[in-house]
Amino acid sequence: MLDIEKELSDKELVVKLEGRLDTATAPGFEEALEEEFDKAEGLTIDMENVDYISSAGLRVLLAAHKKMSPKEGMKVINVNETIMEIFDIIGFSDILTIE
Amino acid sequence: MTETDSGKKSIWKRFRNVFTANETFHENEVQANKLGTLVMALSGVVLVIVLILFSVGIFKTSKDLTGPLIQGIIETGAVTVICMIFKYDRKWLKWLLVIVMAVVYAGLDGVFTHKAAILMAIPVIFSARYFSRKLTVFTTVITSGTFFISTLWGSVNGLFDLNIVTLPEGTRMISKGGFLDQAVLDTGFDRKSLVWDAFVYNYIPKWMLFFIISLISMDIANKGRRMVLEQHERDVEKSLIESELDLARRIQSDMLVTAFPDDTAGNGFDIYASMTPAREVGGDFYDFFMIDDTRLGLVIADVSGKGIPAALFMTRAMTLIKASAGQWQRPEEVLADVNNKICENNDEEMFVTAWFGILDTVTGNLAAANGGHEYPLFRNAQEDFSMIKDKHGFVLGGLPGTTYTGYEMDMEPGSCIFLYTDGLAEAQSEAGVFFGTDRVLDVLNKEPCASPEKIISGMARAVKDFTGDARQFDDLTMMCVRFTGRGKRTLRVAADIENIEKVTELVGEVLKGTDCSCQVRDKINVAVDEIFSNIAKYAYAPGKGDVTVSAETDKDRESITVTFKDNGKKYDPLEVNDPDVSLSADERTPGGLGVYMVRKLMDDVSYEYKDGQNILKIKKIIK
Repeated sequence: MLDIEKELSDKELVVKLEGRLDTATAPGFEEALEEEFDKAEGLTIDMENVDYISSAGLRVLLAAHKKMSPKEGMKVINVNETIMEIFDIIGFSDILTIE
Repeated sequence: MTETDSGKKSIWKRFRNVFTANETFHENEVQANKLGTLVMALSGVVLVIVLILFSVGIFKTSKDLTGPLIQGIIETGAVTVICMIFKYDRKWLKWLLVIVMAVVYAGLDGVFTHKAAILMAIPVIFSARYFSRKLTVFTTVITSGTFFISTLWGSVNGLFDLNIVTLPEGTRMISKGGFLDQAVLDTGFDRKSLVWDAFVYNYIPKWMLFFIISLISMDIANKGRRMVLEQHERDVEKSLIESELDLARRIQSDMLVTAFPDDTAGNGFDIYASMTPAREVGGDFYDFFMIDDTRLGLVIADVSGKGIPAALFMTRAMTLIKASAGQWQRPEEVLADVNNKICENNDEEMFVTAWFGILDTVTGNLAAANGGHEYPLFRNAQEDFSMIKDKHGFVLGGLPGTTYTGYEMDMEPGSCIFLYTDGLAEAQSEAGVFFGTDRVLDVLNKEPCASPEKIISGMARAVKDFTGDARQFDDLTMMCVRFTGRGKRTLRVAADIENIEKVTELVGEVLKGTDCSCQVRDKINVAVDEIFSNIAKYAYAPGKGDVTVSAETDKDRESITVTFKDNGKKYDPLEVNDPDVSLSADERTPGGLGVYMVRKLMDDVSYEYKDGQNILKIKKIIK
């Protein structure tokens, strides 16, 4: 299960995730982002309450990162240890802006 | 037996019947034959003594009796030897014995006449020993005949019976010394005239007395026969009851599971139990059964009383507990339900003490409730066995509506619970000393880490050594369960992404009893997600199929292994090249990442294709 909470203020989109960003939930997350991409200039993804992320979730993150790159970019915040390790393993920690 | 229907049979058959013995009387016949042989032998000995007494001159008669005496010795001796040769075990020996007796004694009667009148009674009294009226009648007839001849013959040729001599009036006797009979004969008395007198004065009175003895003998034979038959009937009935009891005991022991699974199959537990009834059938029982895939139901119980009634009640209690265990979640609910059901129909006021536990073979959680049964003995991992003073509810079948208190324990891998009935602590030595729970604990703690089978056989040996030759008073039942922590859970689901959560739940349950950190769990979940979603997407595409996922920990719960099996297209994910993780975002493609992550996050990943199945195993060290 994944709860997605979106907040768009001043063209800055903040997405708060809670739960698992896995194969089952990633399509829903991707859809949620698609709806807002045109309106947003910047994107922040708060992963404080994300238990884990699978490759499907990573794929969405990578896609979002690519989409936002021409604009103000995307940053990921509050990444927990496990997810950070996964980011490290697959080399995402060098690509994404993680705060 | 044969008398009743003999009327229908031909004379030959009736005659032949005379020589056949009923099986029932076979043993008795052999014994009687032995007695007959003894009588013959003794008769021979008596004759030898008489012969000796004659030859040394203590016995004196007017006639020389050496010849008839030797003849008698030879005859009795011969029959004795024949009986011994055939080991007293021939149907015709009884006929031989009575006929020889009737003939030999008649022969002696012919010689000794009035001096040995009592000889006539011996054959007929002896014949009664066979409990056959037919034989006694036969003996009466034949003895009457032989003694008729011997009496008449003896009156002329045997010892001179002066009692029946009637001399003509005025007869004068002159003694030349010696016996009186010679003086009588010297008068010119003709002994041939004595034949009639011997019949009238000797034979008839003797025969009438003999006939009375004969009647008594016939009655003894008859009564004896009936007694033997009744005894035989009782024996048959008794052996029938015994064989039924034996059958009951076997049925009862068949009810108790004797195939004890050990943990080689990854059940999560080792178990062993034994039941030794004090009588042929007992009221104790143990039982264990899987309530569902992972929960093991454990029962130990003791029914009031012993023998068949207890065994019958036991089967009822056992069945009820097993049925209730499937309906109710908690042990205390199960006991309460069983109690009520027993109480519904319990006019005999029987009851059963029972301890019922449910062991989660994956997590090691043990929930239990006690209905008036002995305290279980428990050891957690490295500790010694000690008594769990659990709260006792009332016995089952005692009062309707009784409630029971459940309790829970977490068994670490290696933990062991030992259950028993009062027959253990109350086993008595020859001196009447109880075995006692202290001794039970001592025996357990000598080798607390032993397997359940060893623990139980060791305990049985200790009890045997303690009680020695003392009688076993009560049933002795023991059950020992060791939680190994290698519980395995298996799930078969459709290969659909929606089912990922079910699989992660499964893994979560297996991990529950371990020291797994959240981070490790999340990594395992990521791997499970990657693999399952891969199978869901590709294995059966575009069709559908199932995946079997099983999760288990190793013995020490230091690692977890999750196995995925599918019957889809053969695909070895480990052959896929690692993605280049150093590429920039624009260069990156999402493919191949999942497997790469699995390999990075897990400690071991293996793949094999076997029997048309893709089998992928991932292993993660927990500690």
